[in-house]
Amino acid sequence: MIAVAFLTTYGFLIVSMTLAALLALSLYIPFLAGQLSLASPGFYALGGYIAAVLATRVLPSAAGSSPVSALLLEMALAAVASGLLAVAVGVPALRLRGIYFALATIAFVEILRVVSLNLDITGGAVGIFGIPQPFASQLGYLWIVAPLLVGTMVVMWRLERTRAGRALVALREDELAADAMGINPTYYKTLAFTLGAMLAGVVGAISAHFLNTWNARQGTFDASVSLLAFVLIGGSRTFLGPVVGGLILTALPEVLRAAADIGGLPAWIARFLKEGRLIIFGTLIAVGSVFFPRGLITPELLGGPRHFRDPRRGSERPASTDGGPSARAASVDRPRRDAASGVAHLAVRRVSCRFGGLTAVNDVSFEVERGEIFGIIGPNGAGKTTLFNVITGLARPAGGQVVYRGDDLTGRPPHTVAARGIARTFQNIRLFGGLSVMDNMLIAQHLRTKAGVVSGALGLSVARAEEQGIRRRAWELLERVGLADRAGEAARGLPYGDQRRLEIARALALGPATLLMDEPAAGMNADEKRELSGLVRAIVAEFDLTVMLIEHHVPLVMGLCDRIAVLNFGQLIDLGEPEAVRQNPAVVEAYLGE
Amino acid sequence: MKRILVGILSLALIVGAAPGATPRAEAADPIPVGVAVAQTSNVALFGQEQVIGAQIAEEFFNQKGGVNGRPVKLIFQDTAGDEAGAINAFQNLINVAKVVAIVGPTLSQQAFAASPIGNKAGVPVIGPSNTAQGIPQIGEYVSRVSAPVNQIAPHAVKAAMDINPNLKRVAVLFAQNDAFSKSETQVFQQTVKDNSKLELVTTQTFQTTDTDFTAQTTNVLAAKPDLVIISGLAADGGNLVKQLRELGYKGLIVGGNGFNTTNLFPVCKALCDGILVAQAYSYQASSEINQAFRTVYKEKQKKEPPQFSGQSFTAVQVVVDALRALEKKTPIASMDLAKLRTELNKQIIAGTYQTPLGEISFKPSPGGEIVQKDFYIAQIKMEADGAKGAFVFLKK
Amino acid sequence: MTRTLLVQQFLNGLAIGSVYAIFALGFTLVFSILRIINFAHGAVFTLGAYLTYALTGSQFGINGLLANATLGVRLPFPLALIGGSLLAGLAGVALERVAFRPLRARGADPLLTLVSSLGVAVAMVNVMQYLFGAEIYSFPPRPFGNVPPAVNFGSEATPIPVRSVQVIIFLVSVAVLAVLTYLIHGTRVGKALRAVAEDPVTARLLGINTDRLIVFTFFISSVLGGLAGTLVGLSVSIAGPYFGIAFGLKGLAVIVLGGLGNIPGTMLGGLLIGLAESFVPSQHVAYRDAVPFALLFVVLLVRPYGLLGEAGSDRA
Repeated sequence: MIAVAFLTTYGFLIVSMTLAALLALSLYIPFLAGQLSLASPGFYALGGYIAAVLATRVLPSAAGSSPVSALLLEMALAAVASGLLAVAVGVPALRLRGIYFALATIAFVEILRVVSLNLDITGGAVGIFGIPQPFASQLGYLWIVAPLLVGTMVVMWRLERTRAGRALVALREDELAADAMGINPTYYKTLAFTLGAMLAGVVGAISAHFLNTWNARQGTFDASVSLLAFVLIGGSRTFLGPVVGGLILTALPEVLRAAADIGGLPAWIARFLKEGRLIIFGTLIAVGSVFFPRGLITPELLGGPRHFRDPRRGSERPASTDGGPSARAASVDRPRRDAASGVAHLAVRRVSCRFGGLTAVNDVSFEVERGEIFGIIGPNGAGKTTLFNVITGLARPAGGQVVYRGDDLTGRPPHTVAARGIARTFQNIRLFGGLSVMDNMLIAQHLRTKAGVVSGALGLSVARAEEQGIRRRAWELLERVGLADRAGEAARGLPYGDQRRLEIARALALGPATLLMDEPAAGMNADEKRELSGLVRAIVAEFDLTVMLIEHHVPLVMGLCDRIAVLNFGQLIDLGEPEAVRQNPAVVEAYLGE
Repeated sequence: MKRILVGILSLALIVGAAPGATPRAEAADPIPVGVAVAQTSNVALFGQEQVIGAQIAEEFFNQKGGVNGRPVKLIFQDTAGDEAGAINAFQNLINVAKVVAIVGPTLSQQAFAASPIGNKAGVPVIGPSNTAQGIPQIGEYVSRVSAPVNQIAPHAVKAAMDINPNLKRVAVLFAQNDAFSKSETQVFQQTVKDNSKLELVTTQTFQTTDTDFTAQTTNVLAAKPDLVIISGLAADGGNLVKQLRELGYKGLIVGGNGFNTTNLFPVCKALCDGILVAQAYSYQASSEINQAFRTVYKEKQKKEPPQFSGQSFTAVQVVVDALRALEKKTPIASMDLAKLRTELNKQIIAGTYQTPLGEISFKPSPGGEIVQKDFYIAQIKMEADGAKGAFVFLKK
Repeated sequence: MTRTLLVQQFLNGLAIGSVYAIFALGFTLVFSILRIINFAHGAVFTLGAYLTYALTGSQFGINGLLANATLGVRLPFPLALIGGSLLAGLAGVALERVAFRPLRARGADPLLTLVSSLGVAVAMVNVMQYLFGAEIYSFPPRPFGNVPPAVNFGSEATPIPVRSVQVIIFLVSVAVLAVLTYLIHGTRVGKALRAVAEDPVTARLLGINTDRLIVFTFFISSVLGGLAGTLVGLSVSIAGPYFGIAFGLKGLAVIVLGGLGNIPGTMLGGLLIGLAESFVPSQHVAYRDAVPFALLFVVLLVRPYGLLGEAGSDRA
């Protein structure tokens, strides 16, 4: 009896809470990829208008009610419309980062609001009212929104454990590194943005019926602020955060209202609770962001220090591996061009690169042969890293060509270069620091798998098989570099030397034919340098690699490389075998300056 | 019918005034009536006035014996400024406080969202200030005591023509993001078009959130009108008037229902002088009940009662009077809540009332659309320093 | 379009634009030094207006906690203006202490700071409503003595009037721009500020008291905000505690257009947006509000560092 009364009174609130949780998730999805999108209210308004217009003008309804099937149709149409608009707006806007992207989404919402205020079909300022109801009571909406929330949560949970989800998180952690691992940033950011938009549109369609009336005030900046509060206070690092944030913060004003009615409170407290709800709300947001910067629900709270917990779930750590068949086999399935056919492995032809007024790389040409260890040395600022950046697509050359195994890769984006078989490590280590060692390894195998969002979310067997395969390979590679014991640790917590090794293992996970290493020995002592040398030689043999190596430590380079190129002020001043280069006076002068 | 009611009221007053004659309504078994208006957010500007009017009504009628000895207890729930807040307030009043009727909400936009809920639950809803088209059409349980725009507006235009018989060129401005202003302006524009002597020379739009009207005033001044009609709210409307005057407009100004508040005065100050407003309520109306209301209001608030307070008083009065009339036919205590609400609704729509708004009754549409006899034209008179002003009732 | 109308609309545009500019100048100062967007600026803007109102000895209405209260003093408007602005500056300092410093100490993301400032803005505005009520307040008449209500830029026959208070706002915004530019580029304090903007850690290591400079920045920014709020309140009266918040959103468009953190750019951005709004043809006035945001969107796509910003400064 009490339960029934409670549900009747608070039915509206419960449904509102659920809708708020869903909207918070719609903001969370792009946030997974590191994009702060405040655009959800715009799509929410759009979805609501679609439902309102269809329900009041197009679809037949009897005396204030309409069938549930009509609602479902409207939800589907809202999803499609939001998706299309999201792609149209997102593709240009997603080139922006951080605050700039957020501002663009704010502008989008405002423009949409003003437009909807002025069109006839949206009812202008008055809006649309008298929207028919598919359910007899407010609580009836739970039939739709509860499964929707649960379903979305399940999809989110799965997503975070599969290829597509990992790609998004990698983009958030370090977009550049993710790009270099073969993850196409534009595709995935647009994907995340569009999914969030579709969810918001569907919620809008439901809400239009729920509130009986729809107008331009439903999609405003204030709504964006509330959603942002749900995510940031609820928890921005796990999907449960926005859900909890949405539920609690929507209920809060009503809880305060009920609290104000409790008998026996001094009048000024009761009045404050009644009228000061927004003060409390605002203060909570301000205080919450100081003391709970990652929100209330953190991954730590849920039992795991990282985004993806327990890497061993899903495949047992194999009892023994020997850097084994699958690791090597993986590199074998790359199509191999025969070096004897005369096509150079990697050809750099008259490449130049400029930044502002500075010419960092000036008309550099050389060829790298398959299977060789090719060193690049030169004083600081000589342009070595820039050269690497040009080859791997992180920088655009002002002139010249990069041809890899016959393919012209000049100016192609990093993920395309990665797909062709070139992997790299970075001068200042770009691991996905907040993620575990294992996750870094899994993300690097992005190109070796194909499962998309749908198959990942649904857990189809194809996706599962792929997961098992890449986990096994990850274990093997980790064993090979001696990091298997630390698979579950956060990457940024590793000692420096281990981080370097992880970067190498990660690059290997890509299954490349060519590996570019940018100062891999920086910060190492003599023993570590020796170990590194040995490792490089070993992996060249085991994985049939071609390696290009930027290094400062001359003895290391002399001992390891087959040939060395010397750069100074962006120009190639020598190229040849180590001994010859060492004795070239021009090289000596470049280093010692006279 | 009117005389009988007046007679009863007078009797009640006399009887109630006699010491000990009618026992004062006891606190033991009050009848709960809900008031759902905006007590927070920027809509509170109007909501606060409605709260005061309702509170005065509660005390007033309880002092007169309430409903056959039982007092009426007003239960206030804040709707804040948006639709969801209104719905929450209504839900609370209907299900938790179990009121017999609801007075509210403040905005027409909120009414479109929340009043259907009252209708579905079979609870009578009386809108004190909802003036947009379509409110009583929501359902048979949704009534209002605020006359819709199409009843009031034409009176103001006529009053302007009375003042300036040579009136010809008319400029109309309205807030296009406000539901109520948009419906009101259509009535104004139609009135002008229907009048062969008047010519509509320009129509300009603005937003209620605007503070700068240089574009609109430039366009209006270029059209050289004799009369400017403005449909907006106090802050924007006031600024518009101020800027029109400062930039040289010398003709007549007619304001719509949004100008019906003293909140206008601080905005245009001395420049508000002369604005014509058609009112559904005038504190100078001579009826006994209005003067009684006015006296109590002035004592408490030290100023004349504004339209919002008069209307909320009237809304509460309608509920109380209907309860009394119902009690005479069937004892209220004998009915269960659902039946009481339904019977009360029927009674509300069927009754005629002598209120501060004058004599009113309802036309079933299917909810109660107000039928109001008296409208008032007021002209704003500001003191020279612009600090104080008043709505002065023009003789018809 | 006649020449008169053209000139009128141009002047109108400058007038509107200088209101945006005067709001945004304080906003942009904080961003240029601290790289954070402080949404609470809109609340400080409003607070400044209320404080000046109180200092002129005016009375608060019946709706708030401070119903019918007046401050004992009754200052002439120019003094009240200065007093209100200074008090607003102090409020900004308190804000910095309470809301922004803890976040800075924890190395928080700028986005988090943005959200926190939003929370602060909401809380402040509602506290103001609680205390002062939601009624409309305006300043006593003739604040600057016997200044005519409008200035005629045209002739007797074809008048081109602009309201005097708008001329004052324009002149004040230009003065503020000049003062700020001098402050940042011509003084030692300014040099220290620029160092903090470049690299706060290094600046501290070099002996610059970054904390004090940050407090100073907030103080100046909030004084400007309070000044702007009072002047705008003079022009259009204080229409409730939310009257500053509406400027916040357009302020964003202004500062991005000009170049985030670029002070002359902000002035330029404000004026341009004002002009763009003014020249919207009258039949499309309804879409006028979309103009700043459409401009914002286009600028972000084409030239995210704004008109006067430097390329590459958008790699946030």
